[in-house]
Amino acid sequence: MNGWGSLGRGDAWGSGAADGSRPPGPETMRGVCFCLLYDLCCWLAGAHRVVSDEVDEYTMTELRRVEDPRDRLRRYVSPKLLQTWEGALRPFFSSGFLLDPELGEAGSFQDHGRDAGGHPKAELTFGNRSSVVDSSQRRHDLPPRDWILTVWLSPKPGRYVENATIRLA
Amino acid sequence: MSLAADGTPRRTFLILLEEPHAWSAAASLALQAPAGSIETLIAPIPGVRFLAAKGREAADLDAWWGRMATAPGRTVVVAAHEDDLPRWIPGLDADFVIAVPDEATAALYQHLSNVRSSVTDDPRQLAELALRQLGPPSTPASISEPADDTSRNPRQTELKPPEAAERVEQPAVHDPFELISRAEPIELEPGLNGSTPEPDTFGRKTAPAPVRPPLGQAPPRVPTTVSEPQARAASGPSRAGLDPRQFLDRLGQGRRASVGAELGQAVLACKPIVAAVVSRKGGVGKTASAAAVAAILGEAVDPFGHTAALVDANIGNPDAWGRIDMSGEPTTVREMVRRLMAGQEPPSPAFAETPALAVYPESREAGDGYAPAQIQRAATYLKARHAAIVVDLPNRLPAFTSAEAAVAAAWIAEADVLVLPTTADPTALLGAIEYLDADSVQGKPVVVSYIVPRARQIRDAPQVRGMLDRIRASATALVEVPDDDRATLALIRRVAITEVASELRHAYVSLATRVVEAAANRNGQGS
Repeated sequence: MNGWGSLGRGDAWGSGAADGSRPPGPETMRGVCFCLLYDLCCWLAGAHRVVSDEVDEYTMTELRRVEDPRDRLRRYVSPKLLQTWEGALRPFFSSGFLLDPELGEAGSFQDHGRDAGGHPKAELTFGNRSSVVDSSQRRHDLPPRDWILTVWLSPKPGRYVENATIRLA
Repeated sequence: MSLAADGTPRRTFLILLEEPHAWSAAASLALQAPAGSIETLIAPIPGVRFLAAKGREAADLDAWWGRMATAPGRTVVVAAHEDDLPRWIPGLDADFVIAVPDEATAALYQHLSNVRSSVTDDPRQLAELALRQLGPPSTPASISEPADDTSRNPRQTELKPPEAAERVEQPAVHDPFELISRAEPIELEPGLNGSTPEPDTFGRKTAPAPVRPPLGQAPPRVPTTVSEPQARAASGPSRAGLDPRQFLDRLGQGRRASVGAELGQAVLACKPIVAAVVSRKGGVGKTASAAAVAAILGEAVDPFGHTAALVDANIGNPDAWGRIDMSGEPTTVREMVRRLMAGQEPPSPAFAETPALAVYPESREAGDGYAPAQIQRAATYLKARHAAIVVDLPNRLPAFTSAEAAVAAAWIAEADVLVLPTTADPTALLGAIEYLDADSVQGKPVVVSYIVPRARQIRDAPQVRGMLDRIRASATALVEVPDDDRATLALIRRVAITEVASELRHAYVSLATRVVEAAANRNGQGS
């Protein structure tokens, strides 16, 4: 093991076989993208709470009870990727900002199956309409922009999110 | 002390910014000024036009000022630079805080002692600067009592010496998604077939290098045949999967509260319902509450082929609309009353983008009141056409001492239920208690909409809790509404307040439900 688990349930990734020979289905990938973006937003928002039952798109059932979104992420995201994001987000957190997440209505999801390296890949486009709140509780609107979250799973058994990027749509 | 001995605000902050910046500045003042220390007015006409008005327009503005401004201190004017503004300020008996685009423009005001300029395009920062420099807590000694009432009017004039421009530092605001987008790319481990990842793996915009699969191994790329839900998702919002609206709602916002058929049926069971939204004090979210309740009721009765109406009876501040995006030329209340009194059919109303909500704004020239018989006639007309009517009243206790108070009294007489918004501001809470105790309110169900402050110290303050207990004891119901800046955002984005944040929507659905329940009970329809 790499120090982080594979995902919640044994079949958390859906229909993919344990040896990773078959790509996970689109619904599974959709769930992964949702969970990743959800947990990322919770992390940025400083929201330390369990994932409510009402959020039924959150497919990582066994992680629902974990309150710290970073702990949830650690369970299915490569430590290397998390480390990279932590470094990238240092200016945000060190300034005492918190995200007040609001994602726009222009969204789409696309499952790309496997890339040439055998990594199951999917993309989620979302509109960011969030604002951030500074340490003085002042709200600053972020420029409304559409982003593409691309997610690659490890092709190896016990799949995890090996890489993810965010780029302008 | 920030309050005058009689509890009235010390200074009037007059906002000359264009909407929606005016609302942002006003919201910022409301959030940051000590409770009751200032009063905030948004000018009916923004910018230099307010100062330069002549003739009838000037007389109307002076009358408006006379009605609205009550603080004894020197007025603080919050404005944005316009080419003509520097020449209108000399001699005005008011302090100005002016947003300028650059230092060169700031220099145009340097010779004016009563001007603080600031290089900023953020109305909230401008408001904060105004409060910091000229608000009661920081500079109580600077408050000069006027010689007479008209000298407070910034449209009247008098000259003072110069002062330097202040630059407001903009905090560096980081977009976390942008930060992640610039993160160092990481290398993917070799895949099942041992090949290296494509160049676009890390989000680079270069074309992917063609990767030839090893012999005997089919390229496992499967993406182009997407499932039907995927195809829908790719072309727009998908209901089958990750509907972005659903996604938005669930990212920390909770579910979008739905307006069930039961609410619509309840309205129809006791229609027509007239709900009057009242307040003793301004700045408590009265207009927002009226718009939100009306929008929810419109949604509720829409499936049954009925409509709701939103009526602006706020004759003292008829320009406060903007919370509802209307299509078409609206029929004003004044025009409706004029036609009715002449025995004519009023023109069709404008309908909001929100389904099934007719909007009757007040004429900008409003100011004269209405006779009770006129309001009675208007109410009869509206009740015959709409299942629910929500009326936004002036900030006055019902009485016949002034035109606005008389309008409030006449509409309250027509109302089945009152909606009484309040914040935790002690003067607002006292105003709510006063309203509940008013003679003409006795016997009417009152649903209080309480805007819950975000600061726990305020929520838990014994003074606040004590007054809330008194309100709960007298009111029919009390509904908590979160204090959310997105109510202002709704104005900026020109969307209904019920559509801008799920918590707000949820609260307003609850408020509308309590309103209908109260009306039903009064009309003998309740269970």
